[in-house]
Amino acid sequence: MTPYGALSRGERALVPWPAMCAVSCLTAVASIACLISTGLMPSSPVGLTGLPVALTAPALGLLLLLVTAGWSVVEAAPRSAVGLSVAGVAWLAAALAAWPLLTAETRALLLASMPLSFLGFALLVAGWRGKTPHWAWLCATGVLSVLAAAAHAFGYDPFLDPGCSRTCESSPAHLVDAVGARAALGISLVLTAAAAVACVTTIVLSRTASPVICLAGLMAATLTLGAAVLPWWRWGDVTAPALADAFESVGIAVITLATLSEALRAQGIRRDLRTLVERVGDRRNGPNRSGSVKAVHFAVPPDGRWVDGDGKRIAGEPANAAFMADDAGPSVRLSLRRWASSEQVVSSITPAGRLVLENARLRAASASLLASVQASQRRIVEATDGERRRIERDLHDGAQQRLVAVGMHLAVATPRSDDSTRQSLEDARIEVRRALAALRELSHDSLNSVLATEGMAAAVEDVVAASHLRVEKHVALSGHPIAAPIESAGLFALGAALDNVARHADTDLARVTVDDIDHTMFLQVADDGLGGAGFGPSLTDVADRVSALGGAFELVSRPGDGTTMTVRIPCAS
Amino acid sequence: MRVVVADDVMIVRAGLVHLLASADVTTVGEASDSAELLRLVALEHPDVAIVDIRMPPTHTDEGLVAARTIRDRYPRTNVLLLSQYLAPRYAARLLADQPGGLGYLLKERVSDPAVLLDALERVVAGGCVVDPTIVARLLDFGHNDSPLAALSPREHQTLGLMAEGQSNAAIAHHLGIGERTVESVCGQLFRKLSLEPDPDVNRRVLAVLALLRAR
Repeated sequence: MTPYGALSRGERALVPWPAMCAVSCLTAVASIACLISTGLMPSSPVGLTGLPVALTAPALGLLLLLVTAGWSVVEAAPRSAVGLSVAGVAWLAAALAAWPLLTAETRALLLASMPLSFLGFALLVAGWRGKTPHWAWLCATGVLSVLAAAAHAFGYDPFLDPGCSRTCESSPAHLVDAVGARAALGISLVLTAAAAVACVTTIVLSRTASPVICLAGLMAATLTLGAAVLPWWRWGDVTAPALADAFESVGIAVITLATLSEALRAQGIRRDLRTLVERVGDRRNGPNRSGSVKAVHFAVPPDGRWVDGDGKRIAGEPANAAFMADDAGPSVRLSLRRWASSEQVVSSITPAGRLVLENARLRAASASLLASVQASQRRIVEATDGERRRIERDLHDGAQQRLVAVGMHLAVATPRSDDSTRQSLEDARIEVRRALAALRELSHDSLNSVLATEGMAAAVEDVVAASHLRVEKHVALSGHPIAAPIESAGLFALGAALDNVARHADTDLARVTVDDIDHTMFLQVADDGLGGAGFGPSLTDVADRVSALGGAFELVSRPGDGTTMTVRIPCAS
Repeated sequence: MRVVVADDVMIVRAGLVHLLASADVTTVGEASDSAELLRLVALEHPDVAIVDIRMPPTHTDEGLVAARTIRDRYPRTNVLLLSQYLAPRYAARLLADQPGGLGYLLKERVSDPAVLLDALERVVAGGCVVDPTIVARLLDFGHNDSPLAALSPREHQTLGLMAEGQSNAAIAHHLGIGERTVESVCGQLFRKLSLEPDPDVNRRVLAVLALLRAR
């Protein structure tokens, strides 16, 4: 386990599952208690002896759900939590108003708190996930809500409302004395409607990242407005307040459930990111099969192209992606599933996770740079080889053939010449043969054809045979095909090493080991000669070729203790 | 003796023809690739085809393939392969299939008319000829576990000369010993290589094959 994993594990879970369980249990118990003690249907008037509406089973459940939702968003979106609390308190206060222990004034105030819900909804939606709310409209919503609540508090006398069944004592209704009951309610209603409009405008203008929350806010505002309009519209209907209560409760339930579902989704994304950070920290760079993040890509210099954790280039653009950026532009790209919100993903990355991703980016960048350097090195080696093969071919088809022809003409001329020139012609023939032998030594072209037709083991034998050394060979090749550049590099290294032994080691015995165990071409040339060998041009060339193929070159040579050259090249599987 | 010459380089072909002419060998055709060579052989039925191993289009072992075809289809035509390289493997591959009537010389060797004529004659006689440079290399680097390791230096020398296509008399002359001695050395050699007397096989060719296979 990486320390990063431990760090990210220390975060508090967004949704408190024990609290959720407690909520469910309490709701069940409360429901049973209510049904036994009152025998009344939910949200019907309870009178003096029963429980207040706020304490009926569904209301209690909703209340606990509200607390859970508020708790689950309080860290990620504190403004939304405040908004939810305001809406919840407004709803709860209205529901508590039927409690007989309260004074008439308190009850009126409680009943009047309903328009404050709009302020709550607006604050909840506008404050969702770090978006800057549209402050002007939010303030307007707040002012209008408070005004509507005040108008309601001073303008509504339940005794004068023929449809009201919730209160039994008079409450101060100064506005009613002035304009009459229905008109007072109308004034309150106009103000409430204005608050609702302001609330909707705030929601729309704030362009919240979550469409679910946005939609739930609009629905809740509409339902609550409906709850306010009903008693005025159905003046005198005894079912209206109960229906209004139901509207209000559904509204609050909708927004609570939406908040909770979004919190759960956020928690899911956090969990996905935690898993991702652990995977990246453990250098498991494969694509993610499940979760919101499919894969993570890194931008690497010099051109900011996208690579995966191993430095391999990623072609194409993901349909949905979240980005982390630094001064130079986007640095990390998270390829997301279609449903995941990039904003939510970005805001869920913890500082520790950011550090892990940044580290992984540096790793990917160095891997990618190394790969491109090796590729260019390989291209250089290939170009050099190609050029040498061309020169060898030219030598073979040009100079060597001409020398052969010269030798033949000399051979024809020699017997016909007189004694004085015969010796010179003989000498010329000998020189021609020496030149041909020298050219043959230079040319490795035959080795390539042996490699192509007979394979690596045969080519090793030819190189060993050409060295004029006594060689103890140990060749164990599995017969799996090895890429041609790797074989060539191996033979090149073998030739150079044997050449070094013959020239500098002062011994005529060398030990050669060649195998391809574990998909790695292993080649070792050892002697018991003088030792103290350094990197001459030929061995430097060998080391360059080997490293161009991602292999390792090692030369151990202590004076008086022989020389051992070891080459390991991974064979791409 | 009638020969066909196949080499993709014109000046070498011309030099070779010139050399053969000076040694009273008739060149009945010249080819620059293996297709042309096979056409000529089918038409002329020469005694020997002198073939460069490297020919178009790939310049690897076209000559070798052509030599095999010739030996399969036209047993009367013998083949002398010429190569720029020391490639004992090629020789071994071919001689393993076609032990008789075949030679393998380094190109530079043919600038000695005597060697060329000698090789041609031996090949026509159904023998096999391997270039001394290649033989020397084969003898130098035999495996320790091969039957060749059991041979004495004298037997090594004899086997080498045998591979070059020399007769017992020539070997005796070369080593400065009596022909009877050479015969007894040969007997020893055949025994060590487990070659029992058999009227159907040429033990000299088998011994040379053993030498080639030891690589």
